[in-house]
Amino acid sequence: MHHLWLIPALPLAGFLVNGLFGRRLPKAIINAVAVGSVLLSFLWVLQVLNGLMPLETLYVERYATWIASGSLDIPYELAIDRLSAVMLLVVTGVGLLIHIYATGYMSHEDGYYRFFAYLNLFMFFMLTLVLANNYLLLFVGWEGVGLCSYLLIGFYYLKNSATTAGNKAFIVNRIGDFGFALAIFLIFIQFGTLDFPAVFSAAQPLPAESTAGILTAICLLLMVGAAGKSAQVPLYVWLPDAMEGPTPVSALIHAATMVTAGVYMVARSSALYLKAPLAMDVVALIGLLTAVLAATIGMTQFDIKKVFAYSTVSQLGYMFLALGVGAFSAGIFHVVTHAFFKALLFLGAGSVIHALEGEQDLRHMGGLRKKIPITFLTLACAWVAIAGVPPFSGFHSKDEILLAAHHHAPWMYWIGVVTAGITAFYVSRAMFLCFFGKYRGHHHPHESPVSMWGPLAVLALLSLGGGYTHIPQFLAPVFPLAEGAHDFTLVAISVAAGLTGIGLAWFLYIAKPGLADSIASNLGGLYKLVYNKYFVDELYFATIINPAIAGSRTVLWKFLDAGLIDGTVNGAGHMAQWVGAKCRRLQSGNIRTYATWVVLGAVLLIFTIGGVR
Amino acid sequence: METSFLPTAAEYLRLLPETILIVSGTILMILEGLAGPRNRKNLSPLAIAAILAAMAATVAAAGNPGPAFNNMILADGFGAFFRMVVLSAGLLAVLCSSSYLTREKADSGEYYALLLYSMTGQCLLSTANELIMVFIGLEISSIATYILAGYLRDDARNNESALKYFLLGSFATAFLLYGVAWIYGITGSTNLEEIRRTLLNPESGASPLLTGVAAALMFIGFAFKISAVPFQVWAPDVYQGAPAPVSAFMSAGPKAAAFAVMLRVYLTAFPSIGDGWQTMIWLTALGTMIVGNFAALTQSNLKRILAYSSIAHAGYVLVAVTAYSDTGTAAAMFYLAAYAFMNIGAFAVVSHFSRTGEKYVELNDLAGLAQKQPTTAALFSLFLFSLIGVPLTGGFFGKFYIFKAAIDSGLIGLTVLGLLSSAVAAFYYLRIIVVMYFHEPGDTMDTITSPAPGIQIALWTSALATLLLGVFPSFVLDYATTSAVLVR
Amino acid sequence: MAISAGQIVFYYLAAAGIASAILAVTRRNPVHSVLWVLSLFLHVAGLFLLAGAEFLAAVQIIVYAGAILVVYVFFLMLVDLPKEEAGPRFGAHWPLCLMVGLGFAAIALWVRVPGLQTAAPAPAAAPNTGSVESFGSALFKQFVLPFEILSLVLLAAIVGAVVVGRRRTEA
Repeated sequence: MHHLWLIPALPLAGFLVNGLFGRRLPKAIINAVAVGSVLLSFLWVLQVLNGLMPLETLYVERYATWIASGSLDIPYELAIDRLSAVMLLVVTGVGLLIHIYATGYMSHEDGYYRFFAYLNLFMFFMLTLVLANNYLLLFVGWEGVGLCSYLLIGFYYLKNSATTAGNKAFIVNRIGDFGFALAIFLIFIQFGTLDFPAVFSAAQPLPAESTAGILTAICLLLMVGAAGKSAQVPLYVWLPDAMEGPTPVSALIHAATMVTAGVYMVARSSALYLKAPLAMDVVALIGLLTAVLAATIGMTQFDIKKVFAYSTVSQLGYMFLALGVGAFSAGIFHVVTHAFFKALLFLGAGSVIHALEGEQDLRHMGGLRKKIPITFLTLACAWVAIAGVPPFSGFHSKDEILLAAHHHAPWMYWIGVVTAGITAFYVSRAMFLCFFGKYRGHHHPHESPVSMWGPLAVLALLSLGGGYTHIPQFLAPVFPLAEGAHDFTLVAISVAAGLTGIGLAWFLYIAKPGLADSIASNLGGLYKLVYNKYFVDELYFATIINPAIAGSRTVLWKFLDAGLIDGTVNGAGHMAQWVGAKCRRLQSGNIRTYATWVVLGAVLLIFTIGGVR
Repeated sequence: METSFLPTAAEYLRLLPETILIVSGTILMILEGLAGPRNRKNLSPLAIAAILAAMAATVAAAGNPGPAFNNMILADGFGAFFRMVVLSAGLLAVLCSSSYLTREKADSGEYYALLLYSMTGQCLLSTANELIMVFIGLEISSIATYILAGYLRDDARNNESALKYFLLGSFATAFLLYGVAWIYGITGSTNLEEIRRTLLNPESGASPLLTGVAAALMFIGFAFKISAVPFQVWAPDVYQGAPAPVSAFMSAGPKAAAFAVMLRVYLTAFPSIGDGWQTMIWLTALGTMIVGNFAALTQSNLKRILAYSSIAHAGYVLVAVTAYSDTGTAAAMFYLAAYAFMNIGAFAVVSHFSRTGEKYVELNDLAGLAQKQPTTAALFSLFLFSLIGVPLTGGFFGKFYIFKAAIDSGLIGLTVLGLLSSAVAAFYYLRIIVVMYFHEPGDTMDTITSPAPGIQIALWTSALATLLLGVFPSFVLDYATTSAVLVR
Repeated sequence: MAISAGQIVFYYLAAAGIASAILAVTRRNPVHSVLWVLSLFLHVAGLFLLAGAEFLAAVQIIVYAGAILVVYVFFLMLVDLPKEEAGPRFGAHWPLCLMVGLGFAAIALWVRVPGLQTAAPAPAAAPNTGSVESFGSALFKQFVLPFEILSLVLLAAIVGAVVVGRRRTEA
């Protein structure tokens, strides 16, 4: 026994302590509990891996029977293989850094204990998700991280936009979860079990489906779930709004860990996907489309967190592209490097926002390079990493993906390259606007405390060197290594695209400031279209939400207004109320009437039992 | 059998839980006279100790299962399961009661004595193997509960509640007794196993029609106790009027015991009338779920909401009874255990919140509880979520097993209708949560104090049990599954 | 068709019983109603006698006519008799009650048809129920547990009477 359960249990204990007693505890103890529990969990992961290496097969621990009913037998099982080991290290490691950062970032906020309790609860569910050995437990973790995400997005619950964003995330994710739940049902119907090893070994001998069959249906439904959680087209709309939450939350949940749960789930189900090439194509196409769409929107945004949010969506698209073309290990590799540099970008952005006392608009920044040098230096590391400059981490993982895409279909490679250029452009644009030129704001920037820049420094090192972790080779026992040798030309082209993006940004925002605005105004309609995020939110409003409101005004209006329940009872529940009122009329309070009912019931029952035979 | 009627030691052991309850109840009453008014408050620990001892005795008796006293009772695993449910319900009720009685200035030993007697009746029901024992157990349980419902003598609502419960209850018991008499007339026996043998023997000449009618008559008596439609009319009035801890107990203990005896009687004695019985329960289950859930929608009084909800939950259990299978029986057992904890938990909150004279029992009085007492509100929400059937609570697995058993028995229609009606139920539970969390606190919050220690223990115990049943259901379910076979 | 004396007695008892029952529910004065119920009980006891169940007949008179009816009379003492007499004898829901009653009658008729024709077997384990000795023996041997535990019913009822009857001393 390696006591895998301790890994999620430690943050859970932290949640319980802070959640129950946090209100009365001093901040130092809250910090110690919150950070300490994650630290212990991280150390325990190392301890377990130390004991289990080389971990070439799945290691399973069974604790108890969870649900046993007829043919359905679901145990409490946690399992670990190299895939989950990678995820565990990322979740606990990056999670630990973000926890430390948050102790500095959140130090002036109300509800300090509540924040850390939620954060620890999130860690618990995320680790459960990663360690689960069957779809149902994974689903529990999946729902749990979603719950924490809504709670944390709406953390500033007095801010109206924050609660709206929380609701949006909730509703959009319901669509995804519905798909996921259906997929689980189908898996159970098809295989009679929900255990990963059993399902996958049962799928092994099946022939790959050339046309749409049950496996394709399962995989597509799983993808619906993944698209909701990992913010893919068309369900990505909630993630940019989720930036209403505190910045450490954006870094931890909406960049490094939770949003990659969809990628993890699809990668975990690779045995199913390999039998459904049609679904693989859909995954690749959705990934590609998301990558391009989000990257272009990222070029035009002025809120620094929104830029990075669209960047996250775009990078997640890359990961799905990798999965769709069969390069599962490349996808996970990108999950890891992305966790490093995107967490760094967000935390750095948080540090900037912290320095400027809440300012998030790039137009009111500039020249901060000298005022907050540590933040600048660390962010610069993330910058070169995401832009794909060799030999930093983003270069390695992106390269793996693009090569695999080329192997699958060259046109995908070319779109990927263009997107890489756009990515480099928008990140550079944000960096130039923020740190170069003249300061355009009116706050007095100050450097952040060590609890904040310490984690930044660690993440900076990881962002620079994370490419040499050799994740694909490490994952070889789980996923076969991608075919195709390294083609130097293809690599050079994608690097060139990245450098072009940086250069273009330099030209537009440093060399010829003002040129960008005139281009934007010349492009007019097109710019507006992109700036307004292709009007997708408006489109959803026009095609889905407004008709729904018009169609059932009583239901929805009250639904939002009176808080879910009152309204529904009044609207759709009119009939229910009518029935209820009738039932209530029976309740006259008169005992003689009651007695009559008893006898009437007796007569009816006796007739029933006699009449049926 | 004729040789010796002297019971053996094992037989006394099998009756030990009841013996402990009776003796301690009587001692409590004597002590009350000796203690004087000031020490009356200190009687509840004795009652708790008695219940814990009875629990221990139940465990001991379960280690040596078998019949006792000429087959009058059968202390098997099934009986032990329900004894534990009843005793747990009683324990939680006692924990809630002590501060309640102090608050209402009604501390006395008789209250606990009656509670213990009532539990004695229910324990006897759980193990009764003989229709005469069924009747006696039911009467002990009922008489004690009638009085408890009207315990606060100066309270008009209490009096009305007790009188209604008493009159209608006696009426329903008369049906039961009539049914027992018919069965005796048909089979010449009151022992469940003998009845089964006679009815299954084609040469006995027992008319299936007469048997069916007798079974239906007996069902009326049980249906009244579990508040199944159309015998539920008493429940809202009585639950509303009775002291809150008593309502809590009534909704869990007697109900579980009545289900226990119903399952045992019908599964053991009447396998011959399967179809007619199933149709009858089918209709009752459906009606109970619908009436309970829909009528609760229009209520504004918390105790009434919980009363209707308890009707609806009886309907869910009836679905499991309709399944008429081992898994159905096990599901019903699991559900009743889970229900006891979550429902008493919810009633404990109401009991705490209502304050002296049960002034605050309206839904809107709860407005803003989450701001004033976040822990209480969170625990209440947990119980409500469990009553809805949200995953990771005992209520979820209860519903899951019940509807799974129903589907396995081919009751697709009933399952669909049941799930729909439980979706309706989510509305009135969530409405309570919405009021607690999203409404501004009113002046009802001015006099709120933190819960008394007894209530706190009851709340946390129920919450823990609800969560444990939701996270590790198999421990209880496995036991239920193995003992469900015993009554077949 | 010859009619035996037994049949004459049976039809008398049945008819008188039904008449008593109808009178019991139609009288304005509750005391009169109770007296008609007494008459009903006595006639039913007669039916038991006719069927050869002496013990049941005795129980019918002792328990029902003796005990239960007395409870009814006690209960009537709590009622405001003149007011009760002035009010209408039937509430608004009497048609429902009538239907329910007819339903019960229908069940009785419907059950009677196969029930009596298949001649229910004489209760096998009813060894001379009339004999006090065998009755006592059964009570103290086989049915000793119910017999003893019945005392708890009485105890609970007595405690209840005390609780309900006691005035609150505090407050």
